[in-house]
Amino acid sequence: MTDASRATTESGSQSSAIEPVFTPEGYTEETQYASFWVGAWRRFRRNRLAMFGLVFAGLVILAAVFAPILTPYGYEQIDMMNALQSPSAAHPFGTDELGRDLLTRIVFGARPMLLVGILTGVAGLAIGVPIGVLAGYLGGVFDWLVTRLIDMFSALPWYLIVLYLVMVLSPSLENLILAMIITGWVNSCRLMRGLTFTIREQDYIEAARALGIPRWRIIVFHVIPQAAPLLLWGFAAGIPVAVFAEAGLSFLGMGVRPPRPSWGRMLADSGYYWQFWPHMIIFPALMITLSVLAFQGIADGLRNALDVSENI
Amino acid sequence: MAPLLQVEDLTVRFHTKDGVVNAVNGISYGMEEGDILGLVGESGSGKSVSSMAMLRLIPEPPGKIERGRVLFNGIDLLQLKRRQMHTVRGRDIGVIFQDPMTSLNPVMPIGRQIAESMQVNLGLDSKKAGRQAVELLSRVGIPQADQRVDDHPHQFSGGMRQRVMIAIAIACGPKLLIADEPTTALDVTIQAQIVDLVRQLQEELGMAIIWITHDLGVIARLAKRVNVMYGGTIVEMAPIKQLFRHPAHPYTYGLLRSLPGAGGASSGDLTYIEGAPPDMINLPPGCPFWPRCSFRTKVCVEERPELADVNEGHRAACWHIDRVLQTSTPEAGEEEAA
Repeated sequence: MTDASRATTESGSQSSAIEPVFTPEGYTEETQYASFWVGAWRRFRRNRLAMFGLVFAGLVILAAVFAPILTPYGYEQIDMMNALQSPSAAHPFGTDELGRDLLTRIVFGARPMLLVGILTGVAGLAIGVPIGVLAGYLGGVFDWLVTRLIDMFSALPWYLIVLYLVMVLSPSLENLILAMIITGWVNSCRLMRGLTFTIREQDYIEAARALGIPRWRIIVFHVIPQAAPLLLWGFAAGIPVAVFAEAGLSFLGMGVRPPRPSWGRMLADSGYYWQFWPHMIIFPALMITLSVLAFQGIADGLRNALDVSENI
Repeated sequence: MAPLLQVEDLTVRFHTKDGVVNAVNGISYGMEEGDILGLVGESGSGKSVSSMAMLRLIPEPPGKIERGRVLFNGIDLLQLKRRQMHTVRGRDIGVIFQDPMTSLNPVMPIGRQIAESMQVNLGLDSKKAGRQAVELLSRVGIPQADQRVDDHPHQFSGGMRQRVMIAIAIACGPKLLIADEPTTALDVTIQAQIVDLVRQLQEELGMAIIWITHDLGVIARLAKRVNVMYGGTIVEMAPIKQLFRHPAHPYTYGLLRSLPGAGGASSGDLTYIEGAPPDMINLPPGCPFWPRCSFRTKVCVEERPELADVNEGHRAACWHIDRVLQTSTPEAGEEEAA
């Protein structure tokens, strides 16, 4: 605080003292300009579904991480005396045909779901972004090859490829993730390639070239950061698809192996019982639906917040 | 003294679907160190393409440098390997682009953009380059440079961004600065500031400048010599005063007559040059300017004029230099007669 302003505050008179420039509390230079990410967060926050998604996904992730601490039972803990119980205080989500606590299995079941969603996304970016950016920036024969590869993967139904791959590799969570990475990298690659084409033509890329900045530096420091918001969106948009795929393939017995819990598997196991013990189907189904919805909500919120045009 | 830059018979063509665009047709000129050369011409006259071709920054394909040499300090830039070219760009030759709104990376703080060139071209570490970036910023007239280095381009106005562009261009102390219509996207008062800034920097740093523009007013403030381009060729080259007082090519004469007041020759309605710029795919066989020229004769249509001496350091490519001179500077003729 300056001397002049202190003087005014202390005396409390406005007659003779020069009024100091009013500065609201907490004002800094930075508050004048909202950075891109601050603005994006503001837009994201306004989207109710996106915020629900963020909260729900956050809770699910926390539950999955701290699953052993949160659950009083083991997910393999069989208790035939208490089999097929409806929800109660001891078992809030009830028990299954072997007396295993359904809530425990739901919480542990979040683990393969998240693992598939995040790992396929991260690996897809790690493979797809370098290939896509090189194809888009260098063009030529390499781009031709990559384009044909993308076309090939796009023409075939990826779900069937995954199914077939898992069958060949023997069903397990690891092989499911592997199969989904093999088919999933194409999406990030296509996105990155398309973005690179647009970014490459920008004046500042030519300006960078005129400055003698080497190609690899232009790609790493100028092209990829420019694409980052859209890649983030692409990553988020891929998660609900992967979550659904994990549930579906586990349902078909192509994913997580028993006794490890998976929501899709639990859905399949409820087949004989759900007419009489509906809690066995309701909770896993609800969790799959809400998770897909939550991650989809996050992706949609990001699309608005990051101002992603849809025709990429 | 050997010239800093010697362009010889530079020819650039673009092979497009519609045909071959003859963008630059065998231009030759030289520049000494510390020279300020204005490159004037209308859109499509080849002024930008010829300069970008020197740095090999035209898209290839469709563009192609068909022939010619660009000797910079005695080294032919057109023969350099890609890697060697990188060391010329930025370090020996700096470029200021036309549109400061799009020529800065929007997601990178400007300090890093200035520093990047110094890190790459001069091998400075990021700390030292960062300090120099601040220095450069204050040098180009950005107030509170030490705070503003971390700002992004959208936090600057157009004129300020052009100052940043200039800071980037001069960061590595280039011997030659190519300014590609740097004031076109700015409003007039800012234009004057930028021109003054560049002139001041030129006096301090002593680099040569190629200033590409279609604004003769800017040229008059800055350049020592002018090349006038039309249809991918240089139609007239002259010291600045000579060009404004005694234009020897009908196109230059037409340009000057279309300036409000500046030439002194025009009064009342502004005159303009009839017709449209030539179709660069089907250039007329003779002088490229003949369809719009009021001096034309049979020879103009049939044969292309070469650059011929008019005066000391003043050359024009026209079959009728004498007639044009008589029309453009009648008093000169009278003086000689008297």
